[in-house]
Amino acid sequence: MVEKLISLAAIFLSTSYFVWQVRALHLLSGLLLGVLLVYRSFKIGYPPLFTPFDSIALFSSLFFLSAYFLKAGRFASLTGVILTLPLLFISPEVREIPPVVKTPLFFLHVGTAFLSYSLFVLSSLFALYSLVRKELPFVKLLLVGHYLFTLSLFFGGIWAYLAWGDIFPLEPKTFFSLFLWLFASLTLHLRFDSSLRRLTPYFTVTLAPLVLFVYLGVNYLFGGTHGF
Amino acid sequence: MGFRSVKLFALLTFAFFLFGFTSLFLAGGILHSLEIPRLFPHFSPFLKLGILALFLSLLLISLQTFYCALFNRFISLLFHSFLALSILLVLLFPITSKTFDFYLYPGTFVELGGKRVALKEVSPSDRGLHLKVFIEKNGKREEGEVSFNSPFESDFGTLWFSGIDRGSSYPAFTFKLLEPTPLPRLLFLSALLTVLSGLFYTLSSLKREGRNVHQAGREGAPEANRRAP
Repeated sequence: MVEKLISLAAIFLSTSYFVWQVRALHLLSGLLLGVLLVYRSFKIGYPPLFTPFDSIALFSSLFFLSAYFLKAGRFASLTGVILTLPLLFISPEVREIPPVVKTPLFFLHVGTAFLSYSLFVLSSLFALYSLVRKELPFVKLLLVGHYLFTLSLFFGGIWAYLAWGDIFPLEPKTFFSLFLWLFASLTLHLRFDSSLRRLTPYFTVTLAPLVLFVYLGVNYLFGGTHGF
Repeated sequence: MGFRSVKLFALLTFAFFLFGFTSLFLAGGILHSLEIPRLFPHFSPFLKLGILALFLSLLLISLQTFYCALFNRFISLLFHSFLALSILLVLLFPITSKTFDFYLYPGTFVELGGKRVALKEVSPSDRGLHLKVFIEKNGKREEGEVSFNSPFESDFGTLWFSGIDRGSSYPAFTFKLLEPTPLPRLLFLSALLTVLSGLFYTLSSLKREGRNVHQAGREGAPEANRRAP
């Protein structure tokens, strides 16, 4: 019940942005979702970032915080609301804590992944805005997001080796994550080819749906080692 | 289209997606990379083709990255070289390594490739199960403990606790043994150097990008992001 109320409050604050146009509302939404994660960590006795509920809360929280610091506007508000809405319908129940997630590498892997997801989605929004209105520095966001995602793959690789003795299992999440990384790398390299340079914002716009597919679609459609 | 071409990189990325997705679809489940060489002869011809093409696309991406690195300056050269090496080592690791999958009950052992691997005892704790094991070869024994996320590393190989098989009336503890190989350490060293050099490379790219944006702003160009660095 508490979880649903906090999620609703975060959605309400973010929706209020359309009326008040105050950036602090993004900050408040992000912090509120952060408080939700801290509350659940104490309640369960371990940060439960392996559940769909908590991973969405983390993603939304980081997205709102990034949107605040990057001075994003209504597009980001709307995207944030869409990202947070599932929290109202997903069960926050935790049956058991899988032993394999009891390692600091789990937090490093998940934390850097979700921060990079947030930056990828924001860079997509900035690129879309650049195409229809005025130029925004989406390549900078893409660069930072890409580096963070590289870090996430690095931590994930070490964790996979320690947990399963494998570095790159051929399973849906690993495969699509590596594809996302290659796609982001390609987007960053388009600027170096004079005939492909103009495609950079279009490729960047494509990143947001790709991120959502890699994050939500792959787990629900294909399963694999990333589904606990 | 030269080997440094961005179009070739796009083509290889597409090939990676196409062959990876096909292989995943045909495999119908998780394929652990270390098991692929052992299972390869039993795969269907289409799956064999898909996996070979996937391997080749990644290999070409690695070679292209290394080739491009040669034309770059210090930090960019280091970042791209370590990245290319890391991808290459990821590909080499399953091909050059030998693993054994087996199960044990407490107090039992198994003979594998001239080695004796034994499970001495199992002790549960709030952080999961801890299993005391030893590996013996030519009368020399190395004892240690293995648990989830914490393999037992010895001179005779690395041992992982994979889980509990509840298929029979007596639950069996499943393990994986990797023969001694320097590749994982080399790979993690190369990956560490990639992320370290990547940090400086990203910072210098951000600086350059900022300079381009300011320069474009002064020149009145509306498309600062689309300028070549």
